[in-house]
Order: sequence, then structure tokens, then C-alpha cells
Amino acid sequence: MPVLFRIRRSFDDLWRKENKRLPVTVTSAVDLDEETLKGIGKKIEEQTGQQIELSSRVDPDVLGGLVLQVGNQVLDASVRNRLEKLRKSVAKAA
Amino acid sequence: MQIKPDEITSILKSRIEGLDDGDSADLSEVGTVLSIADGIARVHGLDNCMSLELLELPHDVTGLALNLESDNVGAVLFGDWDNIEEGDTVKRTGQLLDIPVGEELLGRIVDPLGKPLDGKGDLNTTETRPAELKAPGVVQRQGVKQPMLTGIKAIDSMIPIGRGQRELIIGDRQTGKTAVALDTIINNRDNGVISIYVAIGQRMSTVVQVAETLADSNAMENTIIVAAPADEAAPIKYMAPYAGCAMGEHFLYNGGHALTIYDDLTKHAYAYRQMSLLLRRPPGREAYPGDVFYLHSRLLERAVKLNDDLGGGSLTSLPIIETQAGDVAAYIPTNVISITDGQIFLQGDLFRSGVRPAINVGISVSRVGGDAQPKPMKKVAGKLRLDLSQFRELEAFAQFGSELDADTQATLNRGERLVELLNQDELKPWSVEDEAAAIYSGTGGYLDRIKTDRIREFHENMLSRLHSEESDLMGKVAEGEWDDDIEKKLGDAIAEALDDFGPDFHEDGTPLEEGESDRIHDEEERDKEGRTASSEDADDDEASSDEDSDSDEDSDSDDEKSSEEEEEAATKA
Repeated sequence: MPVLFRIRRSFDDLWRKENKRLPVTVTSAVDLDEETLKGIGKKIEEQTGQQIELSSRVDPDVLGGLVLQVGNQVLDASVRNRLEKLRKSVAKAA
Repeated sequence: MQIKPDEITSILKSRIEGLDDGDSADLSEVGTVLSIADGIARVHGLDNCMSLELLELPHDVTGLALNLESDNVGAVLFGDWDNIEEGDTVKRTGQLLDIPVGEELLGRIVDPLGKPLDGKGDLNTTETRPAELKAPGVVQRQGVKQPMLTGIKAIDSMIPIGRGQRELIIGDRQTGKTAVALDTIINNRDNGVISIYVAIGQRMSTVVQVAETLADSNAMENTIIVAAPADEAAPIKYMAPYAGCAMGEHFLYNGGHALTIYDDLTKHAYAYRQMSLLLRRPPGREAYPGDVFYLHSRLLERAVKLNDDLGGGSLTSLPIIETQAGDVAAYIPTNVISITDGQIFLQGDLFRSGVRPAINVGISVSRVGGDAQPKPMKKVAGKLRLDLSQFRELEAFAQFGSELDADTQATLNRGERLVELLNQDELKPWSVEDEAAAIYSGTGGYLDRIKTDRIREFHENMLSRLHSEESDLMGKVAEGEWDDDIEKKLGDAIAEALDDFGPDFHEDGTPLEEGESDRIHDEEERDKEGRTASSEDADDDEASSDEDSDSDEDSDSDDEKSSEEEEEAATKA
């Protein structure tokens, strides 16, 4: 079975490369309305010059803000990330 | 540690205020865990990952990227990886592995990532250094010229070690390898040398014992112990010597002198073999991966004596290798022998026949330390080496018990005394002037006039006398001065001490008669008093001395064998 998964993954990778498609995942704490999502999608399309496959996820753990995954890159602008950074810097100072 | 609530509140406030400043969004590259087993994770994604880059996993686990392949990255994991699951996100950090360094580490026991293990609180280090660093090149270096004295007579005289040298300590288990290293640390506790003892794959109880020994000898204040005990994961053991080396380099590049001891690199190679096999790298000889030579050569090449423009600092390395049944032709021992600037050979049968430290001086060498040897030592040691090698040649003949001519007998007598003279207790390093005087008493022929078993007593006597009556002379020798005048004065002083101590033989070698010396007379008296009690002891003594000579013979034949093996190894290399 694992081999099958790997073949599937490789195929997906190649397919996206061939068609210049980019998976984008938007994660937020609350449900985003259609318009905001489209706005984000358009911006990314302009910047990367590639067709995007947009999907959205709701994860209350994010607390606030957005987590944007574009291909292998992650832009983390969430409240969770900021609090995590605060935790680390305080732990280091003490 | 005193905790002040006010301070904490103010720190927290300032941090929270600063939270909105700057770009608070993080751009990072992530991948997902494909599979995880035995502390090795395969990660998909991470297209721009560097070799040896640190990776961030959930549950505070850190990974080290080792295998970069076309569709995945193989990483070893530090920390508790039990909770990592397939599909977890792995984040690049963009950093190579850094080790905390600095004076704050002195006197502490830390793990290879710089976390304290001794419960003495936080380290509060401010600086870090990369664990892996390219060794300095030709231009940055200069020749080894300062001595790194071990305080062990046999080593300082015949196998001299200099600052910036790499000298291998090799031998079977239980032959006193660690003791040689500890003696060196203790001997250098007062001259500004910082010692770093790296324990790889050892029992934690052994590490604690080492720490206690060093503390008892007041040597812990300028020592760092890096411990990767046997129960640690293989990647931690793999990192340990590089971490210890980085800690030493902090002092090296600040113009100081550091000494690193890797105890031992055999277990380091085991850890690396385990990692490599789990990463599915192709196994080679003895199942080690192809780059196991590079594993040790890049570590030991970082031992250096820097030139004066760069501060003239030095990093001396004493790697330790444990052999199985004296087999120095195995893969790892031959590798490390060929990397280092010489080796100190410790032999089990010498150890059992009472030679302490059990160094086989015949096949131990130091390829660069000669220039670093203090002058008095160089002068007295030349003769020592010659006399000992003559003794070893004749030793085999002596076993036949046939009649020997006077010259041969004299060489044998001298050799026997020199071997006894080089014996030394563990953890009692000698100062260089004491070593020089003691060796001079042997090579100068003064010891020929007393019985072998009284040499130790005589030396104690002689040295305390020299220090009280000839302190100027001893001071000069300690400074490294040596000329005919000093030699003559030292000889006279030793002869005088010998006369007062009471020799056993005339100068021509015939035994002194009763009454010719005060001591012999006294001894006879004592003997008469306790005759009944001591007669059995005397028998025992005889028996044990027979055993000694037997095992000497064994060791001799073994010597030849191992030197042959060494030659073979050398040609292979």
C-alpha cells in the first residue's frame, strides 16, 4: 500500500508542475466568507503567476489571524504563533 | 534562584507590548513526516533543506537532516520522538547545529546540546559556536612547540605530547586508558589549560566517578564534562565529540589552550554505524558506512596550534580507542591510528604484571611532540629509550637462566630498574623536574646500587631532599634549563642522597656485606626479631616474582606480534 500512496503523491506533484497549479490552504479560527477567500486567492495568483487550487480549513486552535500554506511555504500570521513566540522568549529570559 | 514577581511582571509586559512590532508573520518552509522508526524520520517536502540543518517537529522534538534525497529528507531525531506521527508537519529552521560555549560551562556536566545534567542550575551562556566547523588551514597553523605535560614519567620522557597535537590512547578494556587522560587533566589544572572530557556511550556511574575524581583533585574548576551516556539516542552520542570540540574551540580562538578527551571513539563509531544503517546507507567493512574515516578525521583535524597572529591558542586532542583482545588491526583502530600524530599503547598483560601505567613504550610513538619536550627531559630521555630497548633485546635470553657475562648482566639490571622507575601511581602526576631527576637517577646509573624493590622509597627520599636542599637547582630544571653544570650538580646531589639512604651494592655490582652500611645492619636486627613471622612472606615474595618474570616473557612476545600488526596496518593505510 505505501508504494501506491507514493505513486499517487508523485503523480500529483507532476500533474501540478505540468499544469502550473499550486495548492493553497487557508486556515483560520472562524469561517471566512467567500469574498475574502477569493481576494486572498487572487493576490497569490498575481504574485506567483500560477493557477491555484484554493481550499480552506477552520481550526479553532489558531485563535485568530491566518495561516497560509502555499506549496511548501507556510506564512504563519496567527495569534497562536505569536503566543508561541512569546512563550519561547519568556522561557529563554527566565 | 530568587524569584521576584515584580521583575517577571515587567518582563512579561514589555514582551507583550513588543509583540505587535515588526512583522509578526513567519514565512517558513514545511514538510510532512512520511514515516518514522527507530529515531529516524523520512520527511516529504523541505525542497531547500541543507545538509546538517536543524528541523523543528511537534512536541519539542528537534531533527537533524542527514540524508537529502530526490523526493524526501532523512533526519535523525533528538529528544522524545514517541509522539511524532505520520503526517506531522516539520519546519525548517535555516540554522545548522549550534552549541552553547563559554566560561560558564567550566566545572559543569552538560549533554552534547549544552543542557546541564548536574542539577547546578542554568548555564546562562551567551555565545554559541557551530558544532561542525572546518579545521584551520596551513596558513593559520604553526608547529607544535609547547609541551602538554601529562605528569606520567613514561609518557613525558619517551612519548612527549605537545599543545595542538592529537595523541591516541589505545588499549583493551581495563588497562587504564581513562586514567592516563585524567592524570593529564589533573597535571594541567594550574597552568590555564581548559580540559573538556567527552564521555561517549559510557555508564553514567562512570561519568559521575570521573567528575568526583576531578573534583577531589581540584581539577573540576577548569574542566567541562560532556556526557552522552549509554542510554542516550545514537544521534546524541554522534554529536558529543563535535560539541566538546566546539566548546574547546571557544578557548582556542580566544588565544587560550584547551585539551579535549574523547572517551571513547569506538562507541562513537558504533553510534554512527547505527544511524547510518537505519538511514539505509550502504554498509562497508564491519558494517560501518563509507565515510567513517571522515567521521573521525574531520573531528581530529580540528586539533590545532594556531599561529601567533591568531593568538597562538591551541587545542590538543586525546582520543581514546578501546580494542578487543589487543586487536589493533580492526577497522576503527587502524583508521584513528593513521589520523593521529602518534599513539600510547596500553597492554593488558603489562597491566597484570604490575607495570603502571601499562604503557608499551616499544610500540608507542609521538610523531610531533619532540620539539615540544622541555630540554632537561629531552636530555635524560634519550638515554632512557636506548637503555630500555637494549634491555628488551636481552630480556628473552635472560629467561634461559644460562650464565651471562658481566656486561649483559649490567644491562639487564639497569633495564629492570628503569622499568620499575617508570612505574607510577594513578592520579598522582609528577612535576617535570621530579620526572627529570628520577629518570636521571636511573640512566645515570645511581639506581644500579640499590635493590629494585627499594626504588620507590628511594625516590620519595631523594626528591624531598632535592626540593629542600637544592631548590635552586630544581627550579632551574623546572624552567627548562639544562647544561653540563646542572647535570653534574644534580648527579652529585643524587649520589649524596643515595649514600645517606644506604646502597645495597658496591659500585662494581657486588652486594654490600653486613655492617658495611648502617641500613643493612638495622635490617638484619629487624629480621632477627620477626623471623618466624616473615619467613612465610619471603617465600610468597619469591613465588610472585617468578610469576612476574613469566608474564614479562609473554608480554615480550606479544609486543613483537603487535608491532608486526601495526606495521601491517601502516602499509594498508
